Amino acid sequence: MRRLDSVADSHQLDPWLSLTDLSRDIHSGEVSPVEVVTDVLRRIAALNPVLNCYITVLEEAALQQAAALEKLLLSGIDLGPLHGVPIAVKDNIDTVGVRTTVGSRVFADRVPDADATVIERLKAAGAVIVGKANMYEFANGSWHPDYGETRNPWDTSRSCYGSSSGSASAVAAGLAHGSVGTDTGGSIRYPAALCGVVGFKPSYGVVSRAGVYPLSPDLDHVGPLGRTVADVALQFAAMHGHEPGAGLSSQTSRLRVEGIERGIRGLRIGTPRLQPGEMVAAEVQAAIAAALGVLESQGARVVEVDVPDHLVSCAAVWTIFSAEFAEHERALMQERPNDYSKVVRAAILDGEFIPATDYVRAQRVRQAIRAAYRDVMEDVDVLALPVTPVPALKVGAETIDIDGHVQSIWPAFERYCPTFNATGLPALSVPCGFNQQSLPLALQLVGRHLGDWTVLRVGNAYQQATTWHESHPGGLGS
Amino acid sequence: MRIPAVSEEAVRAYCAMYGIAATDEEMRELPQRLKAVLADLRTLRQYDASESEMAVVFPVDAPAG
Repeated sequence: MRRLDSVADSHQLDPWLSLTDLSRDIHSGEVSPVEVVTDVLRRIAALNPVLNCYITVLEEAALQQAAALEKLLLSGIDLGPLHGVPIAVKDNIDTVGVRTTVGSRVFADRVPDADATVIERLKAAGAVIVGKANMYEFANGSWHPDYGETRNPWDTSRSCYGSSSGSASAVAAGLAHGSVGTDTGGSIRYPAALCGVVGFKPSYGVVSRAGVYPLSPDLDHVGPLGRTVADVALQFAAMHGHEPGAGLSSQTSRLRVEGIERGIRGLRIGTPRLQPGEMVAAEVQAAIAAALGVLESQGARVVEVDVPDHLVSCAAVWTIFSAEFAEHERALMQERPNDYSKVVRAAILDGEFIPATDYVRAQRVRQAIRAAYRDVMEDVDVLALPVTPVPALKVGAETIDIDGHVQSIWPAFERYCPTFNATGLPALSVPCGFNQQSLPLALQLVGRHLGDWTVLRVGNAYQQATTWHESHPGGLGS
Repeated sequence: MRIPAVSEEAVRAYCAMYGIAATDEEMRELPQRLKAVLADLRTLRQYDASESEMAVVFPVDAPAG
């Protein structure tokens, strides 16, 4: 077995190994699932007190699962690329026998009696769940004080934002080789971008949400995070699939994971023109321009396009999810009002006071935006735009500074993500550089409805030509 | 567009009518916050969504093939 840390006297493997490379090593027998999981648990014990990625760590269960998977592999039964790979799961996704808090005090002791469909699929593919990842309370607003804030591994004075903060931070810090998050208005893509990892929000309905606590059923998506696009593609391949009878379910093409290696010659990439009042930090603009140059050098053609007003999408998404969340929480809020944080209570109250006419109006606007994007995507295969206008914010920041222009976080920071919850289009956050403070910068790639594999193909082509994804935070040990 | 103010009394009456759990402090704070929230919705009201299909809110349960 390979020992990458010459100082360590126990199992100490390379925590920065991609899921894809780890899978290769497990299948070749170079490392065993038990060794890998033991090592990840050791890192979690050392670093989780600082980063607060996990609400619950599954030490015993993960080791038992790894041992069982090791036996299977030794007896010639291979469950696929995820066999023996440690992953983190956001704590709003049900895991049988393991408490699932949804980041709330309300569900602090809730233990589901069944796995969410996506967990069933990941377990069947051999993934080992090492912990339930920290998240915004109910995936909305902020962290509940009972669990505290997840820190950004690149600078622990900075936030990962949310809501899948633990899922992103764990992967970035080497405390899992992949993870699962949810995204209602950008909650996979923001923390992935700010933590320098890859985050993928698939097309609406492509990954089952059965057993996932709803924030807004009209906008909720489940998706993977990883160090590379290939890592995310492997998890996505295990997670996705039509679920007959479940409703709100659809499926992508049956293209195999290997399809992401096909290259991008001839693809058309659209870059949205700047809109009135839109501001993006120069360092983010420069990184995205350079990324587009890389894609062009691989044979893609970049063209400018006009897209609907990002802020109208933000208003529609906010209205829909606020109303749907308030309606969903109404009974529990009456039963246990004091178990909600002040922030989430305020969000629920706001939702209670949105006029029904505005909710309907938001749905109409959403349909109009979807139709407009259908037209835009007839001319291009993929869109490329920022995830956020600036990199990671300081913990507790209430404003953002875009090259000297101070703005409120909402909606300036969240301008680019909610649109793709409203439209249901697949959207990928890919690391594309660092600023002068060594904070990660990211590119968002968006595809046609059910064009998930094309988005992953473009992201993978970009990573084949760059090395940003190979950097990792300093000061976290090897 | 003028955004009508929501009074604290109206908030209290609405919460009572619908059994909405809210503290005194929250009911005092809410009118001011609602003013900002409803102002944000102006962008929705001004957007031309005349050709959108209201009936299709949820996608149908259908595989893409």
